[in-house]
Amino acid sequence: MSRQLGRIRGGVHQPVKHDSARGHVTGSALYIDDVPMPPAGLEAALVLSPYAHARIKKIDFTKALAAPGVIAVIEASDIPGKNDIGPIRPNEPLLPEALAEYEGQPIAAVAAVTLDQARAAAKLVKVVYEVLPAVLTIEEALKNESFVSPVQTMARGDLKAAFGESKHRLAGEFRAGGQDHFYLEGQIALATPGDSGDIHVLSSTQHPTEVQHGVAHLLGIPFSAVTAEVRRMGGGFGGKESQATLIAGIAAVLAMKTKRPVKLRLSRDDDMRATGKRHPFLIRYDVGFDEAGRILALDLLLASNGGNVADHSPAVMTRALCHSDNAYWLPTCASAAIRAKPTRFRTRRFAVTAARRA
Amino acid sequence: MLLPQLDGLDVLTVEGISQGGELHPVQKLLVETDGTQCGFCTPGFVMAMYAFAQSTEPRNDAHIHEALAGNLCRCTGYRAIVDACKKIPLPDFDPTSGASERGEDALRYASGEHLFFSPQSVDELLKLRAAHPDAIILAGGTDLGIRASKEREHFPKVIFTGKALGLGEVRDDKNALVIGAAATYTDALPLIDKHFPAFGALIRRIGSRQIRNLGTFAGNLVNASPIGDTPPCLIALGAEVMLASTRGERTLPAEQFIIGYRKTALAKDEVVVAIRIPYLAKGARFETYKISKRFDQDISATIGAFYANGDEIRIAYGGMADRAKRAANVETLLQVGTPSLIKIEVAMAKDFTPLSDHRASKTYRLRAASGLVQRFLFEAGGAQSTRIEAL
Repeated sequence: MSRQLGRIRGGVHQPVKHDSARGHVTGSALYIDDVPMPPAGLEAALVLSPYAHARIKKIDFTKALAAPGVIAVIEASDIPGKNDIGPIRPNEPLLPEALAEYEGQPIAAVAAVTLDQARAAAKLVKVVYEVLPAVLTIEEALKNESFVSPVQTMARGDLKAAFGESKHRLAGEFRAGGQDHFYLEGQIALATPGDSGDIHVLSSTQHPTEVQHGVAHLLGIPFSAVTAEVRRMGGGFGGKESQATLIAGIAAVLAMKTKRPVKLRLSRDDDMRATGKRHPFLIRYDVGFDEAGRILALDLLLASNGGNVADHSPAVMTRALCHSDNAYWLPTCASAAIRAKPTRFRTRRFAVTAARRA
Repeated sequence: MLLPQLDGLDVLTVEGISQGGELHPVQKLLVETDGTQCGFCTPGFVMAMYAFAQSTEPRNDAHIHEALAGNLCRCTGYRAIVDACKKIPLPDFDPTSGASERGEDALRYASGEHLFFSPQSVDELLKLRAAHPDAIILAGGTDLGIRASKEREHFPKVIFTGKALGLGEVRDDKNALVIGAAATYTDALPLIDKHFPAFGALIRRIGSRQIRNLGTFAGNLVNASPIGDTPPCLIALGAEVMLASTRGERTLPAEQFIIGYRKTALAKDEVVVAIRIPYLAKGARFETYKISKRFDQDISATIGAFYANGDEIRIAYGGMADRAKRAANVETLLQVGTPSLIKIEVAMAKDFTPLSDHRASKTYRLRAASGLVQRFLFEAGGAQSTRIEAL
């Protein structure tokens, strides 16, 4: 046992220094990109969709494969197991088989000897798309009833009657914008195949179990054959909860295909384009209240832009819904009512995911 | 930075400042104040604090914020980091005594097909320029460096101005301040502050200290970006650009130097050797206001620069056109009196058709730019106003 661990004796009410502080200030703390590359290790780069919604007609790897240093390329059909990394709901592909569903969605990936070679080769992959109309706003999605998961409703009492009894009424609409998490360490994973069909994945993830399960599904191997390790993270804020599986999954599929360690580290631009953000919300409210300002009736619509797949949208929406009454008791009398009707919409502008309030 | 830029310099990293297992005081302070969380930004903060520890600046909020502006923490840890900085002891040596020496010999660095020239004199610079008109001229590299590190771009031929003797000089020259082409923002700041305080306040909002220690006025000008911060100021101040080649020298007004989007009047064999900014005449006023989402390290949505001396008026903007440009209609309007905001807006819309982009919409840019004219007029009339720099 290390000296530090040996010293642990409770600690409640005791100021305790961050156990990595010394490593942080001396630069000795290892983040994944600081870990020495294992022998024969490869670097990977992504091919991202330039369109919000498009049919993938053809992916031509000829030029990329001929480029210096390139060892392998992958597309959806290279995934040996199940092409699904949905954290809550199924059918959320690692790489889409036929349909690009948001601008920046990874379509294919390249592994090469050096990072520059991988990124240069990714630019040589020629994807032929048939551009399709895209739903880009919450309003359009509302109109088309384009939802990524079922509508959730929370209701109590008779709303119509409560509005009838309300002397005053206010209605309106506002928005809360989405945003990037801006973890300072970008998404990264290093996947190293073992000697028995197993794999070790070093991932900057907030959810190692999800990485383990995701990689196992993708490779068609048991959970026990996947070791997901997190040494430390340079920030996450919700952005590395489900999204880290996308990165670890691509590294793992490339590693299994090449039988070599593969590191996938995104540039900041690719990271921002390819991975999920905070949900943008559209909120419509109609509130009835009495002379004293007591709320008697509330009709609330919470609509979030859920991106192309559910990801964490159902849970984020449940949270938004359950917190929407804030510190107020609704109703203050038996005749008041609330009706919140949150819905998530399938839009195709970008991916979204969990986000910590900070 | 490109590797050969480091010739003759020491490189000190976070791994090198603790001695024999003993943490440097700034490292110790950061541990003690719980100034680290995820730790990814910490090495950068440690080095910014290390640099701050070498200076004799007061350890107060204003100086600490300026010293740390080049570093981002996302885990909401600034309070603890600032607390640590307040406890940094003043240095017990003269921090100005250890200036680095310039190399004796011209550096010619080759790597594969890449050539890097580091001329030691202006003459040598001009000869190299004449011989290699296809080379990229590198001053600080704060723009070029991004193309190398982020875009993974390769530059087959580079001529670095940073080591040419005399090119980094900043000097008083009779009625003007002359800033050598290799002088950084930091080099010129003391004299800029003295002669053009509003310009000095703006310079402190360009990038961060790390960037200002590298970036040059000449680089910003030659870059000719429509959103560069110094070109509108140089135009409004009536600055001149001194150009040279092996054929001889010539001087152009800053306004005529920038001829289009990222285009300058430089001939293929020419380089900028200095920028000459005439001192303000008695009674003349110069102000500049930058509008951006963040105070530090941000590109302007728009920036206005205003010079007035009687009816000699020069108003120039960045972020409003394909280049830094004067607002001729607004200038004319001001020559005949104090116009209303609506009249300013009408004139502004004649002068500019700005773009809508992620920094600001066209409407916002036009209205903000007009508001800045009004601000300049209010301040000229003696109105007390709050400067963002004071907040």
